[in-house]
Amino acid sequence: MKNSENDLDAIFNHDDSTNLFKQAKRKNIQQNVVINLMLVLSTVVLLVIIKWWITPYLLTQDTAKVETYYTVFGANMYVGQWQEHPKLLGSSATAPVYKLVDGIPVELKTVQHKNNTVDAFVSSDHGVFRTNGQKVTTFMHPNVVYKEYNKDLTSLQEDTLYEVALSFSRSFTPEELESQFPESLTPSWLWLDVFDENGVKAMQKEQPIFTEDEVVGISTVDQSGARFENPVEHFQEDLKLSISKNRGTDKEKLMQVKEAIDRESPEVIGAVVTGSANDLQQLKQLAFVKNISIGASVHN
Amino acid sequence: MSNIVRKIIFIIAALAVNISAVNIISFLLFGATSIISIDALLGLLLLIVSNIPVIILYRAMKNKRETSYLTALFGAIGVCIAFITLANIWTLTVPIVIFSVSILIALVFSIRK
Repeated sequence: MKNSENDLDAIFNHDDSTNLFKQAKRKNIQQNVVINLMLVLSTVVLLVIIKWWITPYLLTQDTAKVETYYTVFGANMYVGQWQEHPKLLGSSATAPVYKLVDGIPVELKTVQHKNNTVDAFVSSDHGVFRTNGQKVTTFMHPNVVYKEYNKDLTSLQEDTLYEVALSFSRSFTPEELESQFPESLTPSWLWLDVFDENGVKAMQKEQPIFTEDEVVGISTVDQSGARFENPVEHFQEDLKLSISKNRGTDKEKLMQVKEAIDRESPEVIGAVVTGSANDLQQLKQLAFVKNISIGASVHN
Repeated sequence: MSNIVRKIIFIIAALAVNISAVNIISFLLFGATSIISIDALLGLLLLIVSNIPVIILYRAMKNKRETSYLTALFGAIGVCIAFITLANIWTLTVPIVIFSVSILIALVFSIRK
């Protein structure tokens, strides 16, 4: 009886119950801290998992933008295998851009999945070069009168394969062009006229010479050098794909190309031909070739 | 924990589980010629089973059951880790063990006492 009285005293003792409440409160706070910490940690882990799965997809989207862009822009330029470096922060992907010189790849530069800056060229008395030593090909529009044209191929060496860019004196349809070249020299790329009348008028004053990066054209061979059966159809599909993948100013540029091609059937005003020095000498005899610009080269 | 935080964590967990599952299922279905096939059935089954922790998480969120909510969250993380392991090392045993344990943990703690 005495014991139970003591227990009751203990329960209703004001000091003890205060301690009890304090203990319970402390325990509750500790429990809440642990639970919240676990929740924060779990959320962070889940976010990292989402990022881990999404990063390769986003990288592929970006690489597709760059790759499809080069199927429309750039003379005789191809994008090689992408190297993806997915990270939690700052993922990147890089790929080489190369030219095919008589079937042999010549690396020009490396592109990234985004933020590709405009190429810097080095000009000298010998011409315009990339920093890797490869010459940059240039193109001249047939409806613009330039001060100077060049058809000199005397600097070509016999043991070397060359890429040369040809600017024509008039426009051709892709079908017309097939019969214009000797059998040993088939163009690997065709420069398309995507300028409207106003654009050509504006060019008369400035007489712009176009570099290989800014011209639009049709590849007649694929990345490995095999000939396409229908290059024009292939180009049109590439252009559609490129428009669907790209955004912003690149998309606008591509849309302008599509509008120009839809306006009238594709007209070819230049080409890229590759081959040995001897074979290329035949180009000088082609009357419709107004200007020849030597580009990338590789020792045979 | 406020209800909004619970909802946000639930959405993140549901996203993580389903993105992981869909990626693995897309590998399973790669090259499948028809929509109705054993591969597609397996894929659907995998999607449903991997969503068990997500369903438990949703129920725990609605009923405000703290323990069940936490364990379902761990279950969801376990399922994602199982898929990541499968995608990286391409052995079946380890991912299957992680996957089964995760589902079990989520299920056991969701049973009302």
